[in-house]
Amino acid sequence: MASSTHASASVAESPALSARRAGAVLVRVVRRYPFPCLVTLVLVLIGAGSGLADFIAPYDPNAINPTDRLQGPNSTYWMGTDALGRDVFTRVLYGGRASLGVSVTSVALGVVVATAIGLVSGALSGWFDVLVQRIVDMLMAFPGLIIVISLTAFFGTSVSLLVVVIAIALLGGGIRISRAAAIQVSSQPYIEAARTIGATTPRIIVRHILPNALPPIMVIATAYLGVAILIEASVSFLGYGIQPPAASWGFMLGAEARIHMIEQPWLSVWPGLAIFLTVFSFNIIGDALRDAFDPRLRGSS
Amino acid sequence: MRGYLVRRLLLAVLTLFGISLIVAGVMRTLPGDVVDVLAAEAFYDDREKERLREELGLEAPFFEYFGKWLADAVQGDFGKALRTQRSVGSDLVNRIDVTIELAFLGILIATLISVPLGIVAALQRSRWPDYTARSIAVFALAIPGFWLATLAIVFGAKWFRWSPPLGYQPIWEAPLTNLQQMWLPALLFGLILAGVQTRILRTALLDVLRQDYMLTARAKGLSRVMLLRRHALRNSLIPFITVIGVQFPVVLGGSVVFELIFALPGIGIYLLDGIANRDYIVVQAVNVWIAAAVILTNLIVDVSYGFLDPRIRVSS
Repeated sequence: MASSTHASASVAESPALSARRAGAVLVRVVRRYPFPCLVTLVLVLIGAGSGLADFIAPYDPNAINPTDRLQGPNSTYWMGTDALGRDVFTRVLYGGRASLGVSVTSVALGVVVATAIGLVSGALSGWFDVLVQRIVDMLMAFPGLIIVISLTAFFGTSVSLLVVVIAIALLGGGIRISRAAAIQVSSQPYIEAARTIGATTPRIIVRHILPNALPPIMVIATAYLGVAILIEASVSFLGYGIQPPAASWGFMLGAEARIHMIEQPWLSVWPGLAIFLTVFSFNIIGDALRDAFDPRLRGSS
Repeated sequence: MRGYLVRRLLLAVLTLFGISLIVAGVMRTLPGDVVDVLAAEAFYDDREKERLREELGLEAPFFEYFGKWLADAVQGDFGKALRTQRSVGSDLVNRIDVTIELAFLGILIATLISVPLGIVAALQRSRWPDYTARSIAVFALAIPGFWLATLAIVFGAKWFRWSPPLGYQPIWEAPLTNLQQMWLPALLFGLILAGVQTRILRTALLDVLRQDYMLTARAKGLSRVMLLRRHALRNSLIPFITVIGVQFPVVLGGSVVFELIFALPGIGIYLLDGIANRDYIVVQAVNVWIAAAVILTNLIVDVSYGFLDPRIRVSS
């Protein structure tokens, strides 16, 4: 009797209970890691503002309004206006959509490809591994920014090309990290056990090495989001990234805008602040993830 | 040690060869008829188009073209710039001192900042000096170099009526004028680079401080200063030097942006001009040079390990 009451009560309560439990977990996480949580909130706000720019932005990003040009921040234009009288706040939101879109896609592409190559290379060793290492040496000899501007300048400045080229710039480091993780995992007894019971190499890589090598890869992916934002911004700053009239954080700081910055210095502040906050947040989350995955390293950098 | 050196050197040459092959290959696989695209964009006439075709080796099979390019490059001949008709090799030699000076001063300033910060952070771990140093490092890591430089120029002009001097002077001709032009870009560059360096040095020091030999040294009564100088810092040098090696490509990439903003006529500006002119020969040469510089730095870093750490010397 007692046990059945208990059972029915717990069934009835379960949605509320699990919600409360999730809430409790959330409170605990926030208490334990207040700063990373705050930074995550900042990122969510930047992401939501950029993603929902169509609904949130107070103006049309390309609406030119010469009478209101080069204003400082005021109640009509929260971040002021640029040389064409376009609303800077609106353009920062749309610029975020472009920057985040390009970086997230290129990191996803770069990290998936790098992980596939790195894991196979680390797990197989032999001639394939040697070949991959030599290719990584070559990739690592090119500064990311230089690969990207050299290639986009000649192959054209489309957004999809930019994504591929930034992914290539991230490939070398990604392969190196995932290969190291694969080698470390491969020496574990459970891999030997899997091999003994006759698991094939592809199965071992996908079912055993991949999940165990994932933490360092997640950490590097988060850090790469910041790197990709910086590369995209630098390339757009130089004029070879996202093309005007589309808004991008880098281009808003570029040569064309710089002419007007002495007259209206606020123009130099907002896009840079947006880049800084985004990269800063990704770096902090990357550090927090690394500490969470590997407690031995806690507070080590 | 000797065998190790030879092996590293051979590997570096092999990597550089592969890089030249890839760069040349990429230039060859450019979409469409390159010459027509170039001619349309740069308003070349038929004679220039003909010369361009020959210069790019588009008529010859790839390996013949590559072999000739490589043979010339080994002798220091990187062809003639399409637009200016000047020798790319001597252009690069004339400009490399600017980039090297900027990179050197940037790394020097970053080291001057990061060494004290890293030491304080590691020794005062999890206390306020540590948190302060780490916050500075994380901030520096996230600030885009071109933004910091833009802010300096905009607010320097607005508040101090200061603008970067024009007309670059090489350091051996007019050292004072040169430093007047260089100090600000070098300082800002150094601030940016100090972020990574501080983090790495702190991690390396913490790692060393945990070692058993540190306990032994303390047990035998060494003073804190001696402990730090003789044991901790020396053993942290290896990861620190590694990081300077790893940073070097970042430094070269960042140099492009600083050269542009502060009008310093280095390799970065040369690359940007080459890209703006669609000058394949310039872009190809700059990419190979930069890759070569990175490989050479890594080689020096690897070799210096042997000098710093006897264990590496013996085991190889």
